[in-house]
Amino acid sequence: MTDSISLSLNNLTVDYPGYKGSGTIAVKDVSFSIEKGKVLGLVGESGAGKTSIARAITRQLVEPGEITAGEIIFENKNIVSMSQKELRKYLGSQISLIVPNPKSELDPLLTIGRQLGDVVKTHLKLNNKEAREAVLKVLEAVQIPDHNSRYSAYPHELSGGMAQRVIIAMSLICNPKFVISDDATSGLDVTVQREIMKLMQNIIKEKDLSVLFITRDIGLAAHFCDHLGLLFRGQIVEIAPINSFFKNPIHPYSLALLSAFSHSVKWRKVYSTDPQKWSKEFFINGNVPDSMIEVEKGHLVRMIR
Amino acid sequence: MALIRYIGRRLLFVLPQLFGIVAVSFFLLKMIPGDPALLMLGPLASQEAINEIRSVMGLDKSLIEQFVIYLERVLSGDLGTSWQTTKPVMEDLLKRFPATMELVTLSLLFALILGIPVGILASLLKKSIINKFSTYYGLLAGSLPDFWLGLIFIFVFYTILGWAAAPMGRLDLGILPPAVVSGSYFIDSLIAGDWETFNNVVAHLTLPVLTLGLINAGPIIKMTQSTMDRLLESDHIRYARSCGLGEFQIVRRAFRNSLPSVLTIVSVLYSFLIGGAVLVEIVFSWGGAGQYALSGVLNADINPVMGFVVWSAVLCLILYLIVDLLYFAIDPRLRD
Ligand SMILES: Nc1ncnc2c1ncn2[C@@H]1O[C@H](COP(=O)(O)OP(=O)(O)O)[C@@H](O)[C@H]1O
Ligand SMILES: [Mg+2]
Repeated sequence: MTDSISLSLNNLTVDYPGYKGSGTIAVKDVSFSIEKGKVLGLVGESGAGKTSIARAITRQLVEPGEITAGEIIFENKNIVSMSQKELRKYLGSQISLIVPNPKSELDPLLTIGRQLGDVVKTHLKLNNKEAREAVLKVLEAVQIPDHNSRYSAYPHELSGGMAQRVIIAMSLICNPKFVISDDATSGLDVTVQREIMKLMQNIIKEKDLSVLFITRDIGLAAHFCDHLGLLFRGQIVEIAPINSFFKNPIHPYSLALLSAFSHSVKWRKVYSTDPQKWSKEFFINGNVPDSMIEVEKGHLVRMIR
Repeated sequence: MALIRYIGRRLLFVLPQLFGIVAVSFFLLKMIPGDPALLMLGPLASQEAINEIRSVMGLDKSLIEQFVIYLERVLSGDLGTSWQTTKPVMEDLLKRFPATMELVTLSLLFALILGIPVGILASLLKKSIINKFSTYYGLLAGSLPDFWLGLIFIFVFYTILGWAAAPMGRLDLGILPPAVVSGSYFIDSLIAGDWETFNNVVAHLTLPVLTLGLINAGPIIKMTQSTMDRLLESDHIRYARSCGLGEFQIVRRAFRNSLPSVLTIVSVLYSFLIGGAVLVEIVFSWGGAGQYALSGVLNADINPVMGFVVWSAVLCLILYLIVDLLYFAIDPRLRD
């Protein structure tokens, strides 16, 4: 059983302590598993704690954020208790991260060829010539036109979509097993967004990657996730296989999101929230309860019975 | 291409800038009370003698006329004569500016060699001794006057311990300066391959360079540290970390990105020290340009002062041009 799991979170909690101790619990008691070759979509509004989860997995939380409880198990190893040195061996080579705002994530002073080359040289111990070949190959794979000349381009010379392709190339260059995509398309035009999504979909299928796909857009997640988790104020309120989720969404927050993202009036009606359902099964004094209930196989909802 | 256009545009502004600097300092200097004729001839001189000298020096003309005459002479490379040294100012400054530039350049190099590693380490090791050291160093270096530190060094290393060379200029009396190539004894004695002279030059440079270097390392440490602090928390460095790059690569990238700020502070210190090293020059009898200009000011000898202003302005403009070219070399975003 555990051999089929790529990455799992067990009761992960992330805290941003304030000056006087008690801070913001951005992620609370989050658990999920991602099977090898599968895609888990993690959906939530802005501030729900999605980026904190992504950064916790790579152990790159912004100050003063810290993991205060829980485990992150990747291939039977706990990332939370790894030394920096051991962690570095995994990051960028086995676990990689696709970030939003690609233009501020790339070093403005180095060519993209150099930045990609540094990563592949660090992990795969290639020499300059081999690294250059690997870089050109991955630039071609992410469909960057004219990749020979883009090799020596600087980040500011790229469009947003092109820079996002570079970030995707960076995440793929060492052939990782697990990829986290954090709101990868949020800063892009709609048409560019569609191209990037298509590219990612093809690559995920082709390389049989395990993916944590983080987004604010539940419609986007619907298209290529195998499982879907809904994050609400740092907690998962509903998580299910994709079919089960769309056929039988239960939590009022899921229904509200689905209705907000439905384009047809009919679907909006189907999903629209029945005020009856905002009942005390789901909220205790405005907070979600601690317990989750399995309503179907693999379909968990945060509620009390 | 963009570079050539940029340099062209910069050079276009050089002449108006120089004109402005010369004009402002000329009229400001003329406002300082004190009659050079009187100072030259002494209190017992007759009125006729004073009038004669005044007309020889052009002091009986209107200010505007004097300024136009001065400008014409400057444009032909003549900075006038100093009545104190009785030599052309140009000749004097050609000897003294290399002395100042040599002192200032070596001091800043020393300040950089000390300041950059300390700044980087203080930023990397937040809770270390070196971080505390850097904080107190900044305070101390900012509050100590440089000439005072120079005097202390002379007292300790020359008077008490006898390790340092006498604070009496750039060479021992018995040693001849090396053949002039750059004007810097340090470089010229190396070129000549004259080790005895070179050693003596270094011995005389040590204390003043230490003085100015230690004081000016303060701001360099501060700037390096605060810029590195900011960069190590920046998006692209965090991203580089999440790609698994090693700590050495991370620091190298962060430092590269902090170079423009370090360059800025160095250029500010450099242009300031061309004139601002004067007190240290006096303490070590360095015979530099600042010292020359100061004695001009004190004796109403206007030509050395104006000559100093013109030279400093030209040197600063060259300095800023070089600094801009370095910004260009560091940051590709400026190139188009
Ligand atoms: N640097 C920080 N300092 C303090 N609190 C933070 C910081 N970053 C995030 N948070 C807190 O964590 C919560 C979740 O943030 P984030 O993980 O960025 O959410 P998302 O990616 O879903 O928009 C935010 O609402 C905020 O309160
Ligand atoms: Mg986010």
